[in-house]
Amino acid sequence: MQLFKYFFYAIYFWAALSRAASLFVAPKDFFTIGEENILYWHKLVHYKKTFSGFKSIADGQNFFLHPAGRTSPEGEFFATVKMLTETPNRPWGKYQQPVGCAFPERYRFIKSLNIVKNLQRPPCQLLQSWKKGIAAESMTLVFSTSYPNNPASIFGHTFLRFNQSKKQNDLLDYGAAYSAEVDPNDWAPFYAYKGLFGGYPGFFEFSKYYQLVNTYVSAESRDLWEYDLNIPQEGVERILNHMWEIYSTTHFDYFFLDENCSKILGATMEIANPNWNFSETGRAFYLPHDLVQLVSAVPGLVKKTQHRPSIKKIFQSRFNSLTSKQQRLVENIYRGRVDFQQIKILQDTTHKIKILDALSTLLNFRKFKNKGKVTHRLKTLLRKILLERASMAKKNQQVYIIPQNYVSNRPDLAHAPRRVKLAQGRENGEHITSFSYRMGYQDMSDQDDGVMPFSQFEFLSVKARYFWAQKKMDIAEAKIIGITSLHDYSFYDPQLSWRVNFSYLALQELDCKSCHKFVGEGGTGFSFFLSQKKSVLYIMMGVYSEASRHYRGSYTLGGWLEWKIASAPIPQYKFVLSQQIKSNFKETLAKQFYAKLYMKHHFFLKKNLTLGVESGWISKVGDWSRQTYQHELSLGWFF
Amino acid sequence: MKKFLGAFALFLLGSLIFTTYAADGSSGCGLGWQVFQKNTLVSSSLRATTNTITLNSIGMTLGTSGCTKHDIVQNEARGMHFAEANHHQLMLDMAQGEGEFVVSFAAVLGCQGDSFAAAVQKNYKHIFTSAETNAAEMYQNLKKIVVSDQDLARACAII
Repeated sequence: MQLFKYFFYAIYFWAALSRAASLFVAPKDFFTIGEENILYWHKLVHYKKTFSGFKSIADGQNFFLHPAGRTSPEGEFFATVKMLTETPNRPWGKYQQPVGCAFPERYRFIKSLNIVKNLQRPPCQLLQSWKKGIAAESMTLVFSTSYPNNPASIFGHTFLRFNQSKKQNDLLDYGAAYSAEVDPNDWAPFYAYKGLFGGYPGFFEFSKYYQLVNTYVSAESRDLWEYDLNIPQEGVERILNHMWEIYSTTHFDYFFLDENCSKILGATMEIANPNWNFSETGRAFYLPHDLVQLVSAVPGLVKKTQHRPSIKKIFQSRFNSLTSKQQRLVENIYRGRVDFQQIKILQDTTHKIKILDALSTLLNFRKFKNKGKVTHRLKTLLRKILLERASMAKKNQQVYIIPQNYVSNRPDLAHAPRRVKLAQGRENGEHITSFSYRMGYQDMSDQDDGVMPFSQFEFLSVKARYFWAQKKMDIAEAKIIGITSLHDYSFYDPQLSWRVNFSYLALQELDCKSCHKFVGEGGTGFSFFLSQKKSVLYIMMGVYSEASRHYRGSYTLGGWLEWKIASAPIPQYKFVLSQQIKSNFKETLAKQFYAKLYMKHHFFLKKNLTLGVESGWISKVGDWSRQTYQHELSLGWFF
Repeated sequence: MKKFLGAFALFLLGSLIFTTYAADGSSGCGLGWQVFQKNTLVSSSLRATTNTITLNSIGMTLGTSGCTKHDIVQNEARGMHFAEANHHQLMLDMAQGEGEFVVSFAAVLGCQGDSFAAAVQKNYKHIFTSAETNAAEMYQNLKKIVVSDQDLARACAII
């Protein structure tokens, strides 16, 4: 009997061992799964190369099934295989799902390797319900243009839209954006600090596309550029699987300049095809433009590009289609100068509808702009407009039409952010060669394709000059940051323009060679866009402070007045003419003023190549007859 | 380099902080009232989400978007969410009898788009009864009219 018992145990252990052996056909080492699969695994766990090996940028501990999984791709791989094989029901992650449901893409990938026989997982009800709700068939990459008064959005934003099968329109699809979960109670400087240095966790957030359209197009009046992608449903499925993994097990520390909304989104999109590289630019910072440009560079990946104009642009389009008399009527009714009855009595229904629709769009735009606060008069006016409009069954024939060859704001057409420039010039007759480098991003004289027209957002630039006669090198300018935010001043959006600059400059208004100053300045004023936004004129005034040991007391304080006209009459050319007068509050009246006048011509030879001809005149303080003349011919390359 | 860039960007943001504020308390049902609160520094790439993101999203995709404060039945959640989130756009589209929002609303409610748009335009003053009509009232008014208006009843299979 005892013998029989031992025999039974032996049979039992043999069977158990055989079963385990038959389930897991372990590869000899990690590298036998093949180079392509290793690459995929690296993308799946977000490993990046470091000096000593690899490290995942995922920051949630539940994302790793091996204690050293964050730095060991191999260890994490075998731990995942082991857990999926031996304890597939083990609860894991935020929702305590079976481990194969918490990591659906890892499960699919490992199953596809055929290293585990009959790999099974329990039904994943939560995951399946979630995916069924999204019902994704294809995918669209969406770029939201910048929101100029908001520094955090100045580069734009990107997110995905999952297009439902058999859909009737886009609004009911789901959108997925990667963003940081901030603490609304944080003090503003802490908030900025934490946003920049990974102090907030980043997550994927799913919402209905109509919510995103409302937020960007209506509330913030930003355009959306939609890039329909040629990704098969299987690829879309993989991306969703992976988003679920991130969703339910981890987060990424959010870094505004690097591990930001677009880079993590790009890394997630690579799951559809590991040969894509949407998360590396070779630069220390990653911009939303980068993701769009990297995606657009893959042949055949973008099927179609669509533009969804902001509510302000829709109003402008409707307003511009009216005659000047009708435009005056719209303005006067909006301002309360004319009674609504003036519209009611109009006989031509086509014109009446155009006026009513322009007015209602204007009032909606203002409502969003004022964060929902509307005066009683405007609320009553809107009611009257809509009741009148509802009584007219005829449709408005005027729809928003994108101007032909419309490229403004379209990010795939934008030039690269960094620039080097080589210039040959003269200063008061002396030959100068200069070299400049700018880390980013846009100057008012740069090409506008793909960016906000006539915008300026420059950071970290330096310009060095070599004086041939003196055989001397000098720093002409080092800019820390320069932002000019221009708003077309109009009755429907009476917004001031503004600018700030912080830089280190050659001190040319004193008789002082190789002297420099630190400058900080800020100001505000009015801008007017002319000739269908091909030109802009602004006038601004502000204050400045300059620090230099060459000044009495080592600093000055003053005010400035500047006007500028910039125009791009044809797409390949732009000129900028500006004059600035500065007044030094510390000096006597006779020595108070000096002025600068600049004329710049820029020819856009290619998207990333610019030829510039610039001339400048700078007077000496209190002595208008003594001047510095500058002339320069330059070649700038963006990369 | 990253630290240097970070320090620079901190300076950038710090210098412009006067234009912004960090308090973004967006949460709750729908978006109609909260969309205005999102117009802040955090509204683009740094977005506050005081609701648990995942639960909210799961709720959304399952059609249970947390709109409990309106005491509506489960299968009306999608319609109510849409109505509330797009209240201001719907107000215009419904008066104009056309537009992406009213056609989408029709789809949410299981109605035929063009017929629905024309029918709600005809009944506009009964759906938006005053300048103060909110999304929930609009939705309730619409439901009453669907029952009584033949055109709307024909345009909608279910509501």
